[in-house]
Amino acid sequence: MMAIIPLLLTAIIIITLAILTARAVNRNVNRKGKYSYSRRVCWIFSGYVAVLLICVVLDTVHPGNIVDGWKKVDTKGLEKESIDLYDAALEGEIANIGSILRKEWSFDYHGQQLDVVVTQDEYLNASVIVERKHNNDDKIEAAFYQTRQSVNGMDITELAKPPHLEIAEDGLLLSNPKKNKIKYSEFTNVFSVKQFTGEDFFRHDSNFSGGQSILYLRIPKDLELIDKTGINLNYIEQE
Amino acid sequence: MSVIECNGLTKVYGGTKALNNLSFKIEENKITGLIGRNGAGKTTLLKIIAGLIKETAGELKVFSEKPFNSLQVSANVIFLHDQMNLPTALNLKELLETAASFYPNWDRELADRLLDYFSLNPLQHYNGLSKGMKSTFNMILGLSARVPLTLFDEPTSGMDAAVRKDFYRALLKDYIAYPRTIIISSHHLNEIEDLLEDILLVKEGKELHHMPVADLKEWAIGLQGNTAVIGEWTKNKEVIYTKSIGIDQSYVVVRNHFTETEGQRARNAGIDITPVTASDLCVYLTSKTKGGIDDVFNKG
Amino acid sequence: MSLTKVSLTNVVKKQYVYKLKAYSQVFMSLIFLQLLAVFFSLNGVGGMAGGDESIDVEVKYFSSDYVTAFTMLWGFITAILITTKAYRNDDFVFVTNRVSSNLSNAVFLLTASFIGGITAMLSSYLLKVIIYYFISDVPIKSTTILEAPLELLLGIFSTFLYIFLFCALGYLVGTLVQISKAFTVLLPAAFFGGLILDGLRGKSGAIAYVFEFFFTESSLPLFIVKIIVSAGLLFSGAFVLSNRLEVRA
Repeated sequence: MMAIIPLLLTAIIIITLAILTARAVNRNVNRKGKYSYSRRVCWIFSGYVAVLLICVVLDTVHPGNIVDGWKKVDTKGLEKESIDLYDAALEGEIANIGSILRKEWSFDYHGQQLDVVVTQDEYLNASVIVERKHNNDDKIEAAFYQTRQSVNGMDITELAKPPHLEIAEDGLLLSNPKKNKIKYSEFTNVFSVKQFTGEDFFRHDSNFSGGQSILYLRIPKDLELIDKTGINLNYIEQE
Repeated sequence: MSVIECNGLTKVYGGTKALNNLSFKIEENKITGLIGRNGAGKTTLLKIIAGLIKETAGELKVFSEKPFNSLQVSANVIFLHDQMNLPTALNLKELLETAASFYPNWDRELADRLLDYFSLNPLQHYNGLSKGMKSTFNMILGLSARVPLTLFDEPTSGMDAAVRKDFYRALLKDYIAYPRTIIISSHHLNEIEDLLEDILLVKEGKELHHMPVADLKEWAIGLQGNTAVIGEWTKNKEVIYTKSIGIDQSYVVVRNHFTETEGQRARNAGIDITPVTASDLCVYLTSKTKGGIDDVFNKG
Repeated sequence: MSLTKVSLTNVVKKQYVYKLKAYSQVFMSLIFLQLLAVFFSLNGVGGMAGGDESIDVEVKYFSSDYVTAFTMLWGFITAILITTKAYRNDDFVFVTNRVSSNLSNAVFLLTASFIGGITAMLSSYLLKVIIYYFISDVPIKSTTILEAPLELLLGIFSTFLYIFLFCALGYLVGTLVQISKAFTVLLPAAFFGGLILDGLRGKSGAIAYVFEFFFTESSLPLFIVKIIVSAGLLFSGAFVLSNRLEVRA
């Protein structure tokens, strides 16, 4: 509330100046002209309204921006998705949630041990969940799942990239993708509309939903994973 | 029917009494001159009649109604003075159009022709006009409106002699064609004497005389002659004004109760008898002392 | 000469038409203030930065909040302006009394508020066009009028009501000042004093309460009632107080 006072004072000062200027202009207007003062005001004001209406038309007509194409999502739904995914993963039922699969890898590996290393960053953005297969088939399968991310009610999941996976020597190298940056501008409603449509008054309805990302590894039954960089591998409980 | 009825009207501004127990009646369809010194209360009285200000005590009724804050009175009274607030955004033509919308008796053609006659540019704005032109415009406004009670406060201030003459003539002509009640307050009584029917003379907020002009012209008489002789003759009379001329001559104004014979005797005694114009008489009647400005120089 | 009888409605109508012309300069200041507000809005009215490990998000917000606020202030000042002697006494050259003068002023302010509301809402499109074509190099999210016509109407209506409320407040303030010059000092002192006290006490102050009373009302019918009643009270107060005012030059 206190922050409003300097703004208010500035506004008042500016407006007082504006009024005084307008008054000064008014005195000078008393020259005879072909049209009366009120006529001229009428013309100027009509011109102003015409400009505004032209802007309305222009706004409708100009091509949409990238942002326009993003689908609207329901933020609450997203949260539920994230939790569901994580739970399901721990249960071993992640395969049932097929629609959020982003990428799959498959590697051949014959060793007994595998170092798991995160390169470049301190830790991997995704949670790593490991499932031991019932057999030793010398294959490591990895799948990256990501629930939807949104900002201000718009779906931005496509922008999120999956991590890099590489097998080298005897190590599985994981690294985070390059960080994505989004920058855009948004037009919100006037406060006199927002108070009725349920949007918040002062804070713009900003909201960012990160989604849940999971790297799901299926490894041969007896493969030993060595966590070299403190990744925090979650093993699924085998019955 | 009395258009204006006034009883014991008093108006106090700060500590001073602008109007002090004033009483009079104004009848319908007469031109009355409101005469008095500066500060006698003329403008204050007109403002109260027009409903712009309220009285402090006493009573004033216009068309049997109290004028302050009254829509009916406002519709039937127009008050023209030099402090009028006309909006700066409208030019003269628009002002006349506005007046036309408010006053049902408005004569549009008369207004346009008068505007043209006095060479006022209809596209000009009121506050760009000179004092004389403002007064001229006020006059056009007042005449064309044909309002039952029209009040003019110093209507000729700033006007040159030619325009003043035109104004009086125009006023008279329109008044005869469309009679209404008019009150004019003016300093130039000598110019408007012939125009007026009645005179209301006001001194220090109180009415001094209210009578037809013709009566006022006969009201006093001027005597000029040897000071001693004059002194004899005016011993028991009401002296209004004295002025010394030369060493032993004086000019004296007294109430006119002289009969024909008395007048003849006075002339025989070497006294000049002259009539006193209404204008002069009003000046003498409203002065503070009987000697006029000479008193300032005579003391000491 | 026979006397004219006039009716109040008739006089108010004539005065209203007269004032639309006589007070036309207020619309010039409307344009000026709105354009000024658009200029101030070009830098955005807020922003948000967020993200997680994989993504950085930066959003800049634009809206015509400033324009609406400036227009409300314009309404306030215009109302004060027409209570000053120069404007108020314009009526007394012609036919009027205090009641008709006040009524025609109120109708004039109603019209002005309506015009202000429409232009304030439309100016958001002006803002969008300027941003889109001349300034912004980043993508923009906005809704066109075709997608949300009802919101535009809602905006016009609610902004109009807000401006009218401020007009009523300004009218009362102006009338008080006319009655006694002391108010020129008293009223701002009371207002700012109240604001400061509010700041010290937290959100529970009187001015904050008034603010919340209107600005957080989410039911449209209730909002309409609140504004109409408040504006009505303010205007009535001004009418009653001004009834005894004399016309001084």
